[in-house]
Amino acid sequence: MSSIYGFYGGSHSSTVSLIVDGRLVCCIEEERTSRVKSGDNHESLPITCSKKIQEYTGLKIKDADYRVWALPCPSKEARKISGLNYEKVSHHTAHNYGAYFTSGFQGKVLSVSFDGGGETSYMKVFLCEDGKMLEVLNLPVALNGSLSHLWGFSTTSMNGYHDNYMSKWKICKDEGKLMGMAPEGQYSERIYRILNSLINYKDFRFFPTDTGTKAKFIGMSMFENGEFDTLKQKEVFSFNLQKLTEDLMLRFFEDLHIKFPEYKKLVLSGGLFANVKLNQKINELDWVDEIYVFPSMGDEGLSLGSAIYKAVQLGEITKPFKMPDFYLGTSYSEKDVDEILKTYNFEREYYDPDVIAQDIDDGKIIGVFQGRMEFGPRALGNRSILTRPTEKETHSLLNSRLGRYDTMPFAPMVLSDNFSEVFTNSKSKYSSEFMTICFTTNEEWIDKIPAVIQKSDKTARPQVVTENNNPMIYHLMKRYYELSLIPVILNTSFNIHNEPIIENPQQAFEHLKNKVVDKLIFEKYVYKNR
Amino acid sequence: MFTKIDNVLIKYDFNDGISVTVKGPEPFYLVELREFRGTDEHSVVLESHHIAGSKPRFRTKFILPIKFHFDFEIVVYRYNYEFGLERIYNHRLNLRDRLVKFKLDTKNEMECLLWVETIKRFCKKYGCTPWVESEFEHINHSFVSHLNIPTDKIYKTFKIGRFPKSSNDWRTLDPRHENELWFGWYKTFWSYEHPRDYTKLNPQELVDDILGFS
Repeated sequence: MSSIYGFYGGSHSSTVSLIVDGRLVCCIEEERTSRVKSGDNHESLPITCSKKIQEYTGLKIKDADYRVWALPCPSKEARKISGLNYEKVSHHTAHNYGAYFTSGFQGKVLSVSFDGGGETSYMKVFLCEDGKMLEVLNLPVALNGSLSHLWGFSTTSMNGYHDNYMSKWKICKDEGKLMGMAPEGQYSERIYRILNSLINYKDFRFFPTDTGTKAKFIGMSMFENGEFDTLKQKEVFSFNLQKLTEDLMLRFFEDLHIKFPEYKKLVLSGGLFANVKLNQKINELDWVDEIYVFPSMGDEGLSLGSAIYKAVQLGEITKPFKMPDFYLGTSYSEKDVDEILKTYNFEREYYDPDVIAQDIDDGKIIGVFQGRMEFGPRALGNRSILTRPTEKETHSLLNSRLGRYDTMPFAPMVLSDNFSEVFTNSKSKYSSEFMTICFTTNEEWIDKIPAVIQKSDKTARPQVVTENNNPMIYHLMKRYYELSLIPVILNTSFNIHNEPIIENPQQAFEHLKNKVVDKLIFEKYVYKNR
Repeated sequence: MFTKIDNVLIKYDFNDGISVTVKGPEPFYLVELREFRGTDEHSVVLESHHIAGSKPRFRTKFILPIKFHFDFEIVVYRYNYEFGLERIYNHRLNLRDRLVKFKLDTKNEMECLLWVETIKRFCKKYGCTPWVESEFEHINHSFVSHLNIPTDKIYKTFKIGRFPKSSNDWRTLDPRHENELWFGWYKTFWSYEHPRDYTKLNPQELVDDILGFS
């Protein structure tokens, strides 16, 4: 049995992961420890997170049995991390291994990854069964276009440029803004045609090539032409971008289904599947039994994917397993904060779910810092901000507290038992534990939880909470449900605008001090300003 | 060389690598360098840049220092309000009946003579007129007299020799970078001047390498 460190870096989304004896021990993203958002540093290496993971787990990188790095790997730079060489794992192989082996899916499974490019390809497809994976499709960069590039370079063009010509919205960071705006727009034959000329799909090929440069050219030209001057124009563009993405990908999945009709479970990974609306459409396909989107679907998941790949090669992981949760990061205890707390003037009391449920019902903004940090882009209740979902105004209140301008709605947590009562489709509930798919809200709930519903298309991106995956949040929600008859709480990540999700308690205390949150739950205590 | 399409002036030059400038009323133009492979009539993008037209933003010239021979075309696009990308011009490398200059960078006369034979073969194959420039006058004069030819008549220049690796590496950058330079994603040459590592080539292989016979 062995210890395996997996790495990814040299681009955006640097991370490190550790697997010991086939067990996922720890995964940390560089942005959490360096405090620079991944999208703001496209040349980051997993330096600070490597230091942190060694401190946290006590296992030095040099003492691990294996070190693997998902490609592309800047070899010279990579050696700076430990002075050692690494085994290399193909980018999309790492995406697919990470996704399939954490899906828990038995039987025949199709695993698909798609993003802005690994070392040589945009996409790989594997047929999977009983822990065996067979690569059946590989889309080379040279001969294909990428929908991720269309999103990325549309994003950089849409909101203009700083004086140094750097775009205001960034690739690999702000694409969600376009997805959030899309439902407010409407179909435009002209915009759709223009976007379609930049990328199309037929017979397992996305074309023409070089989508990024073309998309950037069209985006810049449209910006100069005044075609992004108003919010409405941006919304219309985004709507058509989302529609084209869904149209092409659904055609692709239909072709996959024709070719492999007995495969009805889908595993998805790669940055394109950060698009929760696209995932919803795939999940709603009649022939699909269930989908699983890797919770760290972007390149941040590659360190884990490459380590899983190695563990599979060694025979230490043999079958897909279900993740009980995705809390794979660092944790802190009360002992760790004794000294820090002396510098603050907080009141402290024991955590009482009844009191906090009442606070939530009263509209208070509650910060939560408990247990181990989440791995991946979503805050799933351990580094989260919670409040009531019942008031429309909560959106602007939270936006002002967090210094955020997004129109995209906040996400709901929903009690597992009430999931099918609130949402129309209950397929792929396991994946929804990680907030990776949108669902349409049942009519009778739309007015009850307006702060977490996209007003135009009535969708939401829920996190299903069970007693197993997050007991503390589950019991708090139960109390809130008893009080309000609402089995839903608004959940957003614990960070202010342009800040990575918090990693340590001091960052949480600072936000309490600065009144970003009204109260802070830290392990068994609740803190508030005097 | 230049051409004018509507009110867009397009200049291209293949003498020191490949360069294209475009002047016109649009803020930007898109220039692609596309490669034809084998007998396939469909070219693939090798490199592309946006360049400034009326808008002095970003680069003003498409330039790539590729100096060896391969089958390529340059394509220029502008933004069309109705259709998006509009191809306004393309030019495929065509050496037939063109004056092509060969600069032989060697002090070894035997090597020079060997290269000249390959140059003759190259010119016969492509139907171009050679102008040879070397350290050896008698070799130069065995080709066209270059004294009275204006330099702007030279369609393409090839340098043949051993050139430093340091300044000519193809680089692969993450295309997700802002204002990226994007070279050789899928075709990693050792340098812009030699497709292969010249230190491993003998003189015959060297000239074959640069003139595309290898």
